[in-house]
Amino acid sequence: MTLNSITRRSFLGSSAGVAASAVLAGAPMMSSVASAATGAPFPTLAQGRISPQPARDYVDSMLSGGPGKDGIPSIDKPSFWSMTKASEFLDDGDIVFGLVQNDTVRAYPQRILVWHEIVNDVVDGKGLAITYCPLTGTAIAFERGSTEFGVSGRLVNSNLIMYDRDTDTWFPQILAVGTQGPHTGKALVERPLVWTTWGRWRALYPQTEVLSTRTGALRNYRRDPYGAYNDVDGYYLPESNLLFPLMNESSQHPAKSMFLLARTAQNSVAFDLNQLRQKNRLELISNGIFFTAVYDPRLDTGHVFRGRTLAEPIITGASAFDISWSDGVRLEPLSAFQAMWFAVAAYYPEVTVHV
Amino acid sequence: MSELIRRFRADRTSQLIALALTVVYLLLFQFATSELALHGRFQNLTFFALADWQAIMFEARVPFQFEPIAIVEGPFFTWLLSPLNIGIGVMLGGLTGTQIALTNVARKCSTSCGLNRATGLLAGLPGLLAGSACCAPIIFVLLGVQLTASIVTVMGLMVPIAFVLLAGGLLYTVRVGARRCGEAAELENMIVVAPSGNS
Repeated sequence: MTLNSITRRSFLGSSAGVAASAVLAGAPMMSSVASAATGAPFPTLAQGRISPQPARDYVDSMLSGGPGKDGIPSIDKPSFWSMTKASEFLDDGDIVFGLVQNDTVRAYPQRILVWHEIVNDVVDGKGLAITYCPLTGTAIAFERGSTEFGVSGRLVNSNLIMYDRDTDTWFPQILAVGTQGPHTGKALVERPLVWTTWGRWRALYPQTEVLSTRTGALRNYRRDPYGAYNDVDGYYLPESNLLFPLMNESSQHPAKSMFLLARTAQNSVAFDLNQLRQKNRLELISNGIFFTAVYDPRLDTGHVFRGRTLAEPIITGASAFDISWSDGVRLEPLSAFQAMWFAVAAYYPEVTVHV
Repeated sequence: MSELIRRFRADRTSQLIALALTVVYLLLFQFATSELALHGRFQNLTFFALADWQAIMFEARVPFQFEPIAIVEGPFFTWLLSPLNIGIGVMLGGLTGTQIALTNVARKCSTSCGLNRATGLLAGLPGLLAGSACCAPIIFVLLGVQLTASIVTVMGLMVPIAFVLLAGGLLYTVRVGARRCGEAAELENMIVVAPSGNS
């Protein structure tokens, strides 16, 4: 299916928009359901998350990438370096995925995760799965509760499918909704994870811990089998070819250009990251609801909110939850992450895209 | 066959060909599986082995590719050591080298022996395509060609395909080479005997 249906709306400062934002300002943040209430070993989103096609479609579109279940070994006992020690391994331009959980600050190097895709970590007492799919360029942190996540070895839309080791429920990473197994339809709870560079991260968080190369397996962590981000090369080049068939295709943007994707129970919205860098703030309307994206130049990343305001953002941390507004209004921070355009379009053919 | 083997044992060049090709194939196989890689840094030689290597060495990443248990880093190279993958590389390389060396011996017995050195090299090629990145066969990542489910399945079978082709090729080489070298030996005997009979 081609993406004729993708809606693209630039924000127009209409009075209706202002009215809508007034209603949405101060809207409650997404609430999660503890695992005890659902029987799942991991927390789930109370209101769910948009899943545009029936679960069966995702299962039918799965492909093996070659490795079997756990053939790509997750890191289950991570160990960490200090910032100084990590600087011997990382260049300032290398990509890291940054996490701040209360007083704990951690960075997960892309050069390590490209070989493992999942880190089953415990951060400040909370079980988190730090996940990364190299083929779609997506890094997302999930609350994992008491279970661990593993790599199924299968892909849908070139995207990692992970499974929980307690119940064998399968989750495509970007969809983050169960597609097969006892918890099909349930949505995982995401935590803010920042895609940035090592130089930017350590400048902002010199106290950071960094995932070390003592992963329990041996890989050549100085080499990325797909290409490079520092400088961009190989598979990661925006115009380079895709490796696997997709459920939905779109040629409206270069396949691997980076977008900032956010999903709610009803909507999926995406902002061109290059546009956001240039304009600092982008706004769009999706199904009558305003969404705002704000650029954080310190980490070269973006944050997405439901609602809009004319006020200036005051950025105090690494996630959308750390942004307040100069007029005191509260916009609802959303979980958002970078993704290659082809993956956004493949999962969300009705996505509203800022142009 | 005994004449072929006898001539191979006596042929230093063919033995060196077999050994050299085994080593070259092993190195190519290690590069293809990304276990051996070059880099641009001059660094001291270091060695690290996993504490639980006995448990890990039999774990397969993809079919017929096993987990490394030690890493050697040195000037301009990184080498991940997996005993089973090295064993597979030696086996496939040995088959390739032996086949080409025996072809060499057979061609010395008879120039029109019906054997071609290139056949052995081609038969070994599938093994060199077996390398897998995390999520996809390396060759397809490099070429940027789209994969299908059936291609992925076939790519997972490259090592046994290479083994079957090489083993089949070696058997054929031994059969044809033994016949040609046997005939050559008989002819040599006749030539040696004939002058004395006529004098």
